[in-house]
Amino acid sequence: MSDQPGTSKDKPSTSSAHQMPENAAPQQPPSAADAATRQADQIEILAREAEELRKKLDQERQKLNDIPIQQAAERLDPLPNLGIKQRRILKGHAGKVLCMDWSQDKRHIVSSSQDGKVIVWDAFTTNKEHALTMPTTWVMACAYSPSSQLIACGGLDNKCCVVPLSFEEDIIQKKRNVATHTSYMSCCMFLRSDNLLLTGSGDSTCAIWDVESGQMIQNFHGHTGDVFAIDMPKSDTGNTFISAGADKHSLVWDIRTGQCVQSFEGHEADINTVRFHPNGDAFATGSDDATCRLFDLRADRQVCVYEKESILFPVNGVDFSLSGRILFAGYGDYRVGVWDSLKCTRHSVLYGHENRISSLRTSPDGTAICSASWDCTIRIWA
Amino acid sequence: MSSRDQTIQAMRKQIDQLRNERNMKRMPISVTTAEILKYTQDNAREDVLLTGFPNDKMNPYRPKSSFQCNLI
Repeated sequence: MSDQPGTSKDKPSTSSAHQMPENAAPQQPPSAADAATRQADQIEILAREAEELRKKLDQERQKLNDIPIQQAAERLDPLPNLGIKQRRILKGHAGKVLCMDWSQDKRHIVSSSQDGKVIVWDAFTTNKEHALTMPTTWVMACAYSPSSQLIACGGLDNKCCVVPLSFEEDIIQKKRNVATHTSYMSCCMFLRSDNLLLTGSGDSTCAIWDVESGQMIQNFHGHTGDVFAIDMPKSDTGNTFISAGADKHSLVWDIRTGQCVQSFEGHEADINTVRFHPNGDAFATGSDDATCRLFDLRADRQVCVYEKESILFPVNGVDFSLSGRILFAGYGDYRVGVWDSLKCTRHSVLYGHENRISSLRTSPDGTAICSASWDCTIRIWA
Repeated sequence: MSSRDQTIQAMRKQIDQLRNERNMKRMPISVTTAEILKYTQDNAREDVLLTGFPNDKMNPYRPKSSFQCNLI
């Protein structure tokens, strides 16, 4: 192992996962050579220890993998005919729609697009209630606050701003920046309060912000790639959320301490979307590897894979029906896949979109699903 | 702090993380999936995407002219 100070290839030869910056100690004085060797040895020991721990962790998880969920679900009736159809089409964006979110009133929707527009819709009537122009293109994320009085949005500007919704005046004047990352902001949601905002970013961190003051309250370091998606359990007073992204891992975080408490692997490419099962103890993910997966928090492992040989396109949005029985997945091949989440089979496909689906959400009361697409439309299915 | 020190620190943190994860209490898949199944069955009646509305008029997204009747 070459470990002379001053050589250009001064890297510990332990693991590619722990690469050093190129200028790692290039000009150490000779007296530091011993120390450098000791450090390199230490790194090797630590890497070996980490590898051992990973193996043991895998063994522990494997032990509890006793009955596949499909087998447990055998006694259930298959999904009935669902009669889910396209019911509304929301037209008004001039660019790719990148994100959407439901209001808790189960009726309004906020959406954001590549051309910098954010639109608030009445999904019952398809009317546009607000249309805002952001100072940036690629507004990658938008979210409704729990009270439905605020929306949050942002994207390539690395920021997340909040806008109060009212019909009184030009509401864009009341826009406030709340969050700032060091790379694009890819996902955001309010944390059970209009005053707490959770964001995820291309800078591979997540953070919680105080909406009023714009102060960062907690940040979350642990991902080794861009964060693309976050979610938290629906009806829970718990203190966790999950995040996922380009490092193919889903991480569970303790909100109070900022510590990662669980980590889930399985996907073979970027994870684009993550959504809790309504029971709060499991979650589904969708990935560039063309699969959705179900992970169980208490079993600490992947429970099943939703895949078909004929499906080759990325999954960009997933959500469950109210009971969790149906998993809806929005794909890059313009379709919505309807999966039996327990038998792990595809039930049917919803056709309509004319470009890739970017986002998919079930309404808060479970009466409809909404999909946003690069075809510039948003569609409601019920 | 040199970048090596940083690497060592990051690896120690990772090892702590792995230890914590290894020591966590896990439940067998059979138990957790039984609970998922139970949750799904308990809530199936309220799941209108699964069962449909008892009466299509209750569907806020029905087209105005359609008439459908789902008896459950």
